[in-house]
Amino acid sequence: MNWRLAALRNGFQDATAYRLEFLFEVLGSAFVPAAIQWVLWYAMFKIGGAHEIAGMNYSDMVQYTLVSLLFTQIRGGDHDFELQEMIRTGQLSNYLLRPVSVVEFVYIRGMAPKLLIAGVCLTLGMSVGLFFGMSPVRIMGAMLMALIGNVLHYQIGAALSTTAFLWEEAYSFLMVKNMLVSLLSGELIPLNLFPKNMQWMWKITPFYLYVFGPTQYALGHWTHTYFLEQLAWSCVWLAAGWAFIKFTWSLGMGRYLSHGG
Amino acid sequence: MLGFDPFQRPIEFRRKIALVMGQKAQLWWDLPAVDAFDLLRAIYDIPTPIYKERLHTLATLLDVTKHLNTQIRRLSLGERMKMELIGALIHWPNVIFLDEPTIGLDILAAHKLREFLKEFNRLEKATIILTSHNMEDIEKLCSRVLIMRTGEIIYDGTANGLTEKGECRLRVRLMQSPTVDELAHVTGLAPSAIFLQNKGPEAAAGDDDEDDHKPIFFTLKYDNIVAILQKIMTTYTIINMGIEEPSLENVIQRLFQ
Repeated sequence: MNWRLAALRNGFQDATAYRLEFLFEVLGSAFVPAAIQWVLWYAMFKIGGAHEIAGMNYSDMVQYTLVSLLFTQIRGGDHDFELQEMIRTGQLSNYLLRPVSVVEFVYIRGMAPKLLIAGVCLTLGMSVGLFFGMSPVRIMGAMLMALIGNVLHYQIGAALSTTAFLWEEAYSFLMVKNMLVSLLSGELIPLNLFPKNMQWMWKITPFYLYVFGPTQYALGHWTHTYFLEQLAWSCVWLAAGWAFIKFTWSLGMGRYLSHGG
Repeated sequence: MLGFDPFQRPIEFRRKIALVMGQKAQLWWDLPAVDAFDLLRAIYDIPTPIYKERLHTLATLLDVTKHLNTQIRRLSLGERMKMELIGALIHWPNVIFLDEPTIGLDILAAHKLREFLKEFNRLEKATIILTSHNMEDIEKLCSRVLIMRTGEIIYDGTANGLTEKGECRLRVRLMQSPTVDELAHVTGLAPSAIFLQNKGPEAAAGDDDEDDHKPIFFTLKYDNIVAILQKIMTTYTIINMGIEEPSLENVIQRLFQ
């Protein structure tokens, strides 16, 4: 069996070693952003009496919340934290001596449970989507974009984790990145709610391709052409991310020092 | 090494080496060891029949066959270290780096591990580079010893070569408590050949009621024992004495003093 398949299998076994814990983690990470959004929409539309915000009414907002849940689950995991911890503790030495790329290996192992969740979300989205008249092609396209977003998220994290070669507190750096992602990916609020003069903030990062982009396409708010254009952009980001990783890791490896056992 | 530049880390080079660090586990805590070995089999592209044979050989030699399907977190430290070794050796490396492999292990587990390494080395002719602060590991396993001090090699040779031929350790307890310099002056030996021992493993050779008098160790040739004792007795009163083979630990201690 190819080592990538074996790593996927191993990562899946590791993530689901405690099945109940895995289930609670998935449900918990879906429930929290959904609950925050629902409370927000209820306060604005039902208590505050608003009819439309940024062209979206209460029903649009709830739809966004529910559909975005499918993609929030696929958004990147914490493998970048694993990388920075390996660099910081010297555990990286174990991986550097294996005949595989450490960045790729850590990603594939960590990606395994996300792939399962993506499969479940896709099936769920397509089945429920059919009932609500959503196009299966759009849901599949949106899932593809979310998966590319997952790779992008890891690429950025893997490059940032190299700060651990220089700085022992690189963990905080990754935490800040994750907070920005929560805000700018559309996981907490639809990004078109941003004030007009602040829209550039999410447009200059690739984070909107994680949740907001897939949700907009699945809901039919993006045309096929615009979606393909965004997909092309995500490929540009992927190439840039790959170059960024190569550059930061070659810099970091030159400074790597492990004090052994 | 092996015709490669280690810093370049070419794939072929990585397939031929292995590293085990006593303090840094490479197996996954929540998974049984056999799952990790299965992944390593795929990483090193080992054909299944060969993998099964190697796993059987290694698990039998290390006596952990019955633990292969147990989660790593549920194993004892010794069993975990044995699994780490299997994980490192499953691809039959040519060069194995072992960094403190017996750290934290009980006497039996450490003994078993040493026996295994000896046997593996005998069977496979693999080069084992062992870094250890445990002198027993070195005395029992290493045919060549390199001692480093602040990044410089200060000794390169056999373990036996560290203790010169015909050299021994004279242990004496005195009524007085002279300093190393005073003893050097009286005996004419270099201060580096004299070692004052506080209570500890070395002191165990003496009686309990004599613990107040520190044992003093002189490293010298057998031929000089009588002459040195005579010199000591001109100035000090000897309570008891003994002659020992110098241990590797003491020799290294002396090298660093």
